Amino acid sequence: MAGDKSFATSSTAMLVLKLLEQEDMYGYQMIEELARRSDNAFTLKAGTLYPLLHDLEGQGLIHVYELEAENGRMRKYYSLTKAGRGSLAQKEEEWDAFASAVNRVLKGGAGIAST
Amino acid sequence: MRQLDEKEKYLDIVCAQVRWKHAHGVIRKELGDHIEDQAAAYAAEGVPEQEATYRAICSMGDPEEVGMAYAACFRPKRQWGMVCLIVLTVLLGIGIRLAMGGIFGWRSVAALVFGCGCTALFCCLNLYDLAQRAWFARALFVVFLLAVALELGGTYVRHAAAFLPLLFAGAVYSLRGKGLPALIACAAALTAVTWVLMARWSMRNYLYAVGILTGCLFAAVLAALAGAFGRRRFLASGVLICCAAVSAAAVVFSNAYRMQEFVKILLPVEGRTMLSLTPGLCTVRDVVNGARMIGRGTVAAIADAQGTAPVNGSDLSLNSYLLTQVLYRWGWLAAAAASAVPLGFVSLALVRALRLKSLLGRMLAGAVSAFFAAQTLIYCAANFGLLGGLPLSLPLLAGGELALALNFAMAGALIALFRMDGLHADRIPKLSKRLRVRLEWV
Repeated sequence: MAGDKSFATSSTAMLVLKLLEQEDMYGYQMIEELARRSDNAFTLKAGTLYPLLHDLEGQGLIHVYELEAENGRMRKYYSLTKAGRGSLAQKEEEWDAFASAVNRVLKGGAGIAST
Repeated sequence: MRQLDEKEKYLDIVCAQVRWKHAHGVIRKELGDHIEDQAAAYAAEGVPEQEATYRAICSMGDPEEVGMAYAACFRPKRQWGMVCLIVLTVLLGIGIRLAMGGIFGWRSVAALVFGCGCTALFCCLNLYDLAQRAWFARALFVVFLLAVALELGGTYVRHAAAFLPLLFAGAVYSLRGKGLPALIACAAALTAVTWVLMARWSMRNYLYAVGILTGCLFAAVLAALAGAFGRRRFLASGVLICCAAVSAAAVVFSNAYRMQEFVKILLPVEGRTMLSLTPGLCTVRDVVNGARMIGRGTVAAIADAQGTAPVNGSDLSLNSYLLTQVLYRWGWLAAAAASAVPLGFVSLALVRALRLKSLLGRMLAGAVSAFFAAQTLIYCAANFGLLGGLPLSLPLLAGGELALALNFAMAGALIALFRMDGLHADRIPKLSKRLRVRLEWV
C-alpha cells in the first residue's frame, strides 16, 4: 500500500509539473485542465493538489507568486523552475521506461512460461 | 450567509489538524479561494448559489485528511541551528569578558535580558505581512530616515539606524515592476541614506554607516538582479552600486577633514588608533606584531594596565577591541577561534538568506545579514590592525549595551524571516506583464 501511495503521488506530481510546462496556472485552473486533457480520467481533488504543490515548492521544483485576478482578488500562480523542468524530463523518461516494460509483459511475454 | 458558515466550518476542521498556527491564514485563503472558484463554475452552469457552494465544498475532499496532508507540509520551523549559534556567540562573548576579569554588571545583565526579549519579540513578528503593505513600508522608511537625519532621540536613534537596511528593503520591494522610475527612486533613496549617514554623522560613526549602507545596497542589488526594475538586471545593479559609491565618495572627498580621517581609517598609522587614548595601552599594531601563536604576546604596556585590576565590562577596549585583547592574552589560535564564531554566524545567515523562496524574504534577510557581515568584517579588520578608527560592535559578542540589544533584535528578525519562509508568495505588480519581470534568482 505504501508503495502504491508513493507511486500515485509521484505520478500526480509528474502530471502537475507537465501542466505547468507550457504556462503558469493557478490551482483551480490546474484541476480543470487536467480533467480536460485526460477526458475526465483524472479528477484531482483540491485537498490533494494544494499540499502537493507546497511539497513541490519545498523541493524547489515550482515557484509561487500572486497576481491580481479579474475580480480584484489576489490569486496564487505556480510556475516551473529550472529544477522543475529537469525533474519533469526525468520523470517522463522513467514513465516511458515503465510503460514500455509493462507493454512488453502484456503484449509480448505469453509464450515463454510454457517451456 | 449559510454558505459562508459551511465554508468556514470546513476550513476550521482543516486548520484544526495543522499545529502551526501561522500557516492557518495561508491554508484558509488557498482553500477558500478554490471553493469560491469552484462554486462560481457550478453557478455558471445554472446551479443555485447555495447548492453550488455545497457541491464545491464536497469536491474538496475529507477535511481531516486534507488537514493532515497540509500538516505534513507546514511544520513549525524551529531554526534550532540559528538559535544555537546565537546562544554560542553570546556565551562566548560573556566567557571572554569574564576570563579577562571584566565585570558583568547589572547594566550588562539588563541589556542581555532586554536583548533576549527583543529576539523573542521579533521572532514572533510576521515581517512579510508588514513589508507587503507598500505605503506603510515606504512611509516607515522615510520617517525613520528623517528621524536619523534630524537626530531626533540622539544616540538612541543613531543606534536604531541599524534597522535602516530592513526598512530600506521593504520600501524598495514596494517599487518592483515600476521600471525606470522605480530604479531612479531606489537610487535616490540610496543616495539619501548615504548622505544622511556620512554627511550628518561624525567620522567616528563612519564604519557603522558603511555597515548600514552595505545592508541597504545588498537589498537593492538583490532586487535589481531579480528583475524588479526591468529586464536589464546587471545594468540596474551597476547603476545602484555606482550610485552608492559615487555618493559616498562625494560626501567624503568634498570635505578636507573628512577625507583626511577617512584615509586614516583605510591606512592605519602606527600610534594612531583609539587604543592609544587609554593610558598604559599601546596600539593594535603593536599587539598584532608581538602576538604569539599560543599564549600571551610580548607587548609589556598592556600587562600593567590589565594585569592587576578587573576591567569594567563596558570598558571601551573590551567592547571595541575584544579580539585584540584575546590576541594579546591567548594568541593567534584563540583569536582565530573567537573570530570564527561570529564569522560562521554571518556566513550561515547570508547563505540561508539567499536560499529563501520569496524575493521579499531574500531582500529583508539579505539586508540584515549583509549588515551583520559588514559589521563583523570591519570589526575583525580593525581588531587585527588592518583598519584604523573606532570599530563597530561585533554582533552578539561585543559592543555597548544598546548596540547588543539591537543586534539581538535583528537576529530575532532573521529567525522570523527564516521561520515564515514558504508562507509568503511574492505579489506581481500590475505592470510586470508588460515588462516581463522574472522573479527567479537562479
